Amino acid sequence: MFYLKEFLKITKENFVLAIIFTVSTIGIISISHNQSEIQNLLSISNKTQALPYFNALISSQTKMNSVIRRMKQLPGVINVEKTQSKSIAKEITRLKKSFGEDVINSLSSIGYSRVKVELESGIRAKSQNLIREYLTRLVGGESITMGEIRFPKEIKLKSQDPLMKFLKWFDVYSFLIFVALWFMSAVLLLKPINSSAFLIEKFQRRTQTNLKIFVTGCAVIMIPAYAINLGLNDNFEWITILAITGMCMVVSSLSVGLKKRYRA
Amino acid sequence: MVMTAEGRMKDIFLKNKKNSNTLKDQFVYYLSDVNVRYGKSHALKNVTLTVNPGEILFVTGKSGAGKTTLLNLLAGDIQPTTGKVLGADSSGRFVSQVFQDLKLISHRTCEENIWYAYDPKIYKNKNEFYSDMIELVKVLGIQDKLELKVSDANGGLKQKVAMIRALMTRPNVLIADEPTAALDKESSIKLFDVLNFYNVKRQLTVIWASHNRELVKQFPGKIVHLENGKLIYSGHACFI
Repeated sequence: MFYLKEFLKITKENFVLAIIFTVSTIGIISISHNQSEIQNLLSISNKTQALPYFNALISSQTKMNSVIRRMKQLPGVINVEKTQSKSIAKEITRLKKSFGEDVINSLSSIGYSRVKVELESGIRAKSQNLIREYLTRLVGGESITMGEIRFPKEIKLKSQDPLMKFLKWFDVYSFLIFVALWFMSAVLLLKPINSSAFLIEKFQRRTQTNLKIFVTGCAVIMIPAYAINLGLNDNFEWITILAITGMCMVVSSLSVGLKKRYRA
Repeated sequence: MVMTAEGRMKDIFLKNKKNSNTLKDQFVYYLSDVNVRYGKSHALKNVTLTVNPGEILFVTGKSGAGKTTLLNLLAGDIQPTTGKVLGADSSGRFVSQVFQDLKLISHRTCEENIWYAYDPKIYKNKNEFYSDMIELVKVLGIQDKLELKVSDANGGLKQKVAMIRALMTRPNVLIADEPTAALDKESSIKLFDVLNFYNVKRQLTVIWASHNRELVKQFPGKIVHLENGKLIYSGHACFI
């Protein structure tokens, strides 16, 4: 408790450094613990951004699961999604307002499901029409209304593009940045820690105070950060523990080496 | 009855002599033919010295004579280039220091600085520390200045705070480097009386460096005089 109090006093007096140290510690733990999740997330967002798609309103009397399964088997189709009925209901209600009472009554008896069909990027127009025709045949011409093919704001992400390369190594870059920030802040924090430890050792019967303050401070930040990450993603990553322990040991040995230099 | 300075000196000297007789076979420090060099500069030259338990030792000399080097050597902060220093790393004995630059934390108050000496290993609780501190603070007459930040305090107050912090550690040895540099004669005598009280009551060994030989000559104790790193004189102040 004494060492924790001392660490908190030092962080209060070196607020900016303490914030950098805390954020970089949490960053290192989070990135190394969730590396595969981050990579998945980045690759999904790359895919979805570039794909052309069209929407279709299909009568809810149709067996949607069967239609989706068959459409997914079609060459040129990447994904078929059925969107939530709530959002469809809202859209229909909005449309109803612009029609008369009779139309509203006749429409209210019909249920709709919206389906989003994602196509391969760069698909030819002929193939697009074939896919649309196939869907019309599957459902029946009277039970379907299709929208035009849309091309989302096209980002031509190819594996050679610098942006793509950057995103591919995003987790590594951010990890390295956090490690650099961590070392910088830790080494700069050593000065006030060693000054305080020098005074404590001169006026109290304690030894290795600088190490104890630093290790306590690291533990106070790292243990909750790791516990939260473990709660969100229960993959136990030894590499995270080893990396953090190694970094702490390097700075701790530096702390011992600089003990006499950093006096109060 | 008001005791003269000479009478007080004699009285204290006799008490010290009595104390040292009971511990005659021990020493606090023993320096044998010690040399300390900082690059080309020869800070201490062939110094041989014994510091006995319960002794008050004044280290005198001009600026640059090697007083601070000798004190750092005794505190174990530096190692001799050649020669032996026995006792600097003795376990079970606590050495407290009043530094020349005081080493007070300027953005904290005087009281907060004194609290640095609070060690649960030697005080039963914080109340015991606090009552001891107040007692010392009253003796040195700074009870109404405890809330003052060190950065706002004058030189004399800072030296008193540094001295109280050092004494509150209940040390076996006190090493003080120019503890009265910013104090007037009256305050210096008061400070010495406090140290002397601790010396008699708790067998505190005091090592006190000062460039003012005329001042320390008034106090009982042993004087070690340094000149250009050489030990010129070692003996009791009353015989100088």
